[in-house]
This record gives sequence, structure tokens and C-alpha cells, in this order.
Amino acid sequence: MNHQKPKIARSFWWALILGFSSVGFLLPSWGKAEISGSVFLNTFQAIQSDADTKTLQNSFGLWVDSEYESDGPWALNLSALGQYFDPSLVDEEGEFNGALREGYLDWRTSKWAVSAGRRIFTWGKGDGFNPGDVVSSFDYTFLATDEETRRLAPTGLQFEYLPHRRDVRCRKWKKLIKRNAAGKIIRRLRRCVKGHVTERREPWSLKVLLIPRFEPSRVDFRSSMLPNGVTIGSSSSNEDSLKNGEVAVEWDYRGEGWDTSWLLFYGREHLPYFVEKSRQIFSPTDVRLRLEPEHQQLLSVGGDYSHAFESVVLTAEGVFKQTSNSDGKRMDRRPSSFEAIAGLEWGFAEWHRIKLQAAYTTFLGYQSLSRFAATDPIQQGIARLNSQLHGYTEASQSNAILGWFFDNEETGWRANASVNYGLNGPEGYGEAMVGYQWQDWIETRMGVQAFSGPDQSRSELYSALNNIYLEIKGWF
Amino acid sequence: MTSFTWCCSLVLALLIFGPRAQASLSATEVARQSEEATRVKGYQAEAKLTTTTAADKGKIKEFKMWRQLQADLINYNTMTRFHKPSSIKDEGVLILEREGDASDVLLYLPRFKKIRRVENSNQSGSFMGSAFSYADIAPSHYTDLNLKLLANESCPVGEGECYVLRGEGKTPQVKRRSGYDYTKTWINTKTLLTMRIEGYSKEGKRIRRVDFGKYASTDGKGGANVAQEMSAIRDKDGLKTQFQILDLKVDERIKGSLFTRENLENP
Repeated sequence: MNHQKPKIARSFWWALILGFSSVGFLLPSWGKAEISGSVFLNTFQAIQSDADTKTLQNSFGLWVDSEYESDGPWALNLSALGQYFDPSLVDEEGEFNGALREGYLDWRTSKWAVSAGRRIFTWGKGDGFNPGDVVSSFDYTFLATDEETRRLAPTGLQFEYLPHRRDVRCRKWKKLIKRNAAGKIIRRLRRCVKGHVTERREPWSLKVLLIPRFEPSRVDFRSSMLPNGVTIGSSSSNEDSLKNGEVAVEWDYRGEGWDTSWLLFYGREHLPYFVEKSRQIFSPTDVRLRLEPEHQQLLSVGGDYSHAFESVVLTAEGVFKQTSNSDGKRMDRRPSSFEAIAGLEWGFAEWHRIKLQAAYTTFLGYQSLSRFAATDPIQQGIARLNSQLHGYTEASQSNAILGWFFDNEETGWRANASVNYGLNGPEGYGEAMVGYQWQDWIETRMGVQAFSGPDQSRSELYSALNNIYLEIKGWF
Repeated sequence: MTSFTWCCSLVLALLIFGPRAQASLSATEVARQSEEATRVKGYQAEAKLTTTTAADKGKIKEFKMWRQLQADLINYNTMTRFHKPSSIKDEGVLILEREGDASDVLLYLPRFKKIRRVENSNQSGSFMGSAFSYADIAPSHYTDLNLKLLANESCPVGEGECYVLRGEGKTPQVKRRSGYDYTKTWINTKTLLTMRIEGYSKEGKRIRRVDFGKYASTDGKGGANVAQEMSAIRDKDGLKTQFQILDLKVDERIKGSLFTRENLENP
């Protein structure tokens, strides 16, 4: 498949080093320049006995971040990621991917902030399931020990309004006495000494994000994972055009001990749907099918909330998503849905935290795939693939998510385990990790990632990637 | 009256009223004046945490911190941004102290690009793996404590005489947040600067000891003082941390926008 991941030659490393260094020289008047990053080496081994290969992925990567801060309100942030995979999840051969992960110019005053360029936007308070995280897209063409490294940044413009002070309080007063011509005091006044004013900011802020062209999530399959004769072409839906633009508006409000934010998003679903572009039937057993990814329009409205109580933190997030399949009649598209997650998190014994969450999704006007049985078997197969990929295999889904996190900064040991269990049926996802930080700059971790579910469920699709991994990571 | 008689009267008056005037300060007044002696409207500083255990020679964390006195002239907003070691670069902690000693503590985790709240009871937990707790970084104020003057004795740190105050949270919430049932505080009788704080459990077992050293006047003229060095020892495991302020810049016009969520998530 011609996936859209940019392939850059070995010179990427040189361009990266020279580029980041030269920016520092080009901006000599800037107050601060910092370069940092990480290097990692990992291996993912299949744990399915019927997996077609034992080694799913070996990879080596370099992540470089640099920040250039001016003495004024300007800052330039650059982050580049280069990774070499052998074998690659998509090509079964070595593959190098290098990209400018983030690169944006930031202008910030006490009242306004504007950033322009490639930047990652995260949203939502849920862990493991973020229904409101619709602005981000992800790269699923590689395995990662940390889901966040898969985020892809769209290129856009963000305006942030941090409203003016609600009232002003003075910390130092100056006494002023007004006297008449005879020197008699006629009035006593007081005035705030300049510079001794405490701002009280409005407890809300507003962000508007404009993305001229949406960033699609990357999903790819090895040819060995596809039926004979099936090929996947590149997407044609993310061309430069107004209809591929996105807009998001976020309003935040902060109370004492709690905060909430509300998001309105109009754009595209970043995870693709596969659609049939051409079909050639030479015989009942020789069918050539070409699929292409497409992205449907999405309107999403939702809110999130977090509240710190005496001994627990409550988090909640809920979103209504209206898709172009709002009546649910199309089987190859996700119907409109309402999705929510709420949970409690608490810390104990200093280094431990537990988070228990309940998630619920319901699809409006949902029609079972079995009603599609009489139609074209190829279309039915494509609809099934899309429903597995997008998780609309049932009219509603309830999940319980339990996570345990341990991070002992004194000894360097850390571990976590989480289970996401579908309450509708025996379907779920689990992961566990144990790591040790040898020094401030180096860490080893190993873990397991596994999906389990019945045939034709979403988990079943991903279970081919169930793995045990080992990673060495260093920071500089 | 002769000048000799005047002198004698003055000495007598000082002998009688001077010490009494000092001794007559209530515990609350001592604590209030002590807070006043260290009250700085705003500052920024480079800081360093060096944590040592029996097995480890020292883990160093460097960060920048900003502090701003709130309009009530009691509570502070504190922002810290870590830059060393690289594994925690850009992690931030925003502490917004509130009336009634219920601070909002927000952690920014750059790896997830997310902010996480710390519940009140967990604010007695370790601050970035050090022997200090979040509550030690933003300690309870005299307004949140029932205070009692226990004794006057030699200061355990530095020279001179110290008031020894016992402070107990006015509410169970204050106690839970600090992790202490009560504290003992040594305050220099002359300078009114805090020299040591010890936190105790309900059973009277010491939990943590924090020593303050190297106070420096922020204006160089004896104005408000900031402790340039603090060291904490956690009794249960002997964990020691030294907190050093390396480069202090008083900034009375420090911007309120530094102490916001927006700034926390924009390192």
C-alpha cells in the first residue's frame, strides 16, 4: 500500500542535526535555545502461536526536541522523530521513517496566544479511551511502547484568548492627603503604588483552531495480512480543498478544585474507511480488488470535567458525534454516536495510583451487519473490516477499565497494568509493563500488549499484533 | 531627676517591659510576623533538588520556579518547570494555594501533553521523588493552624534563641493535606525567621524534619527574606533532600498569566 508516511533517506539525520543547530545561529538574538531528546531501541515479539512471523518489529529511533525562546513573546518549537524498522509492520522489509513531528512558532502575551505550524493537540480527561480526542490523528503503522508517540500533528493555526483581568487588587497603597490653601486637610485619599497590583484573571479561556487540511491517521496492512488479489491504494480525500479543512473551538473554565472544558469540532474522522475503487473478476477464485481509504465528515460536541476531592480525583468526558451516516443505514460507515467515560483515580502508599473507569458508547439508528448478509459478499467484507476498525460491531458497548500505576522515583522501578474489558461480551485489551531506570538518563522496560475477542470483533482484528516487548531508552 | 536616675529608670523599664514585651507575643502573632518576614510579592529562581539515600549518592533535579503572593497577602501561587534530568524535561507543577488550605495542585506531563490533578490527601506525598512533600513546598499558613507557644530554647539550626511553636491544623482537611497531625516550628526570636519545622503523626512519631538555612534579604537592606537552602529528612527511610535556590530574582511585577493552566501546558 502506498501509505502517506514520508520516507526520507539517511541524510535525514544530517539535515536534522544541521537544521536544528543552524536555527540557533540564525536567531542569535534569541534568549534561550535548548536541544534535548531521546534514543530508543526496542523489539516486539509475537505471542500468538499462529502469528505469521515471530518478530513483529525491531526498531531504533531518535527523537530530537529543540526550543528557541526569544526575550520577547516569541518561541519556536521543533520536534523531529526518525525511526528505522526491520522488519516493518507494513513492508516486511527494513523501512526508515523520518518526519518533523512538531514545528510551530508561538507568540504569547498575557492576554493572547497564537501558534502557527505543526502542533499536536490533545483533548479529554479519560485514560485509555478518549472519545473527545477528535483533533488528534495517530500513526498505527508501527508498534510503540507508548501510545502518545503515535500522535500526528496537523498543520494549523491556533488562537487562544486569555481574558482580561476581572478585578485588580493592590498590595501596596500610598496615602495621599489633599490640603486647602491654608494647609488644612480637606481629603484623605489612597492610590495603589505602581507595580504592586495583583491580577485576578477571568477563570475561563477560549481556543480556536483552524486546520486547512486534515491530517489522516495512518493504518496499513502487510500484504500477507490481506486476502489474495486485494490491494490498498492511497487516499484521494485529503487534497487541498476547503472541504478538507477543520475547525475546533475549545472553552475552558476553572473553578476551585475543578475544571471543565467544552469542545466543538467540525472536520473529518481521521481513521480511514476502506472503500472499493475497482474490481476485476477473472474467475470465482481470482478477483482483483482495489481499496482506498476515505475519511467521512464529523461534527463533534462534547465536554470534560475533573474534580479533586479529598482523596480521589473524578474525571469525566462525554461526546456526541454526528457522522454522515446519521440514520445508520450504511453499513460501511460508523453511525452517529454518543460516547462517554467517567472514572475515579486515587493515589495510595506514596507511589501507587489506581484508576477505575466506566465507558459507554451507543450508536444511533444502528443496524446489525447481519442485515447486510444478502448483499454483495465483497461489500459485506469491506463493511466488516470498517466496523472492526472503527468499533461499531454492536449497537452499544460498555467497558470497564482498571489501571494500576506504580512509579517509585527513589528506586527507579516503575510498573503499570491495565485491563479494558468489554461488558457486552468476552472482549478486551490488556497491557502490563515493568521498567527500571538505571540512571537519570537510561531506562529498560519490558511488557506485554494483548487484545482478545471473538471472531469479527475489533479486538480480534488487532490480536495479530499481540506482543511482548523489550525496550532500552536513553535521554540526552 | 538627675540623669543617673533617668538612666536607671530606663534600664529598669527595659528589664521589666522589654523581655515581657517579647514574651507577650502570642503564638499566632509570632507565626504571623514570621510569615511577614519572608513575604515576597513575587520572585523567580533557578532551583536544585539533590536527593540522597543510603544506596544512592545523589539524584539531582533542576528546575525554574516562580512565586507570586496573592491579593489576600497570605497565599501564594507557585509554578515549577523542570529542565534536568532530560527524562523529566518540561514537567511542571502548578500550586494554587486557596483559603482553608485546600491547594489546587496540577501536574503537567509532557509525554502525554496532559494535566493531572493531585487530590488533597495525596499532597502529603513526595514532591518529584524528593524528601519534601507538595505540602512542604506550599505549607499551611498561620491562619490555618491552631498555634501554641511551647518554649523558648536555643535554635537547633543557626545561632540564637528560638520560639518553639506547636501548630495543629484547624480542620481534618488541613491535617490530611500536610500529612502531619501537628508540627513543631522553631522561629528565631530576633529575626523571626523559621529555622526548623518538624511534622508529627497522631502517635507523636516524627515524619519529616525540614531545616532552613542561608536566608538572604531580597532587597539587600534587611527586607523580606527568602531561605536559599532547605534540607528535608524523611524519618521512615532516611531519605534526604537538599533544596537550593541558585539564582533568585525578585520580581514584584511578576505576571499572573504565569500561574495558569495555559502556561503550565505550554513549556
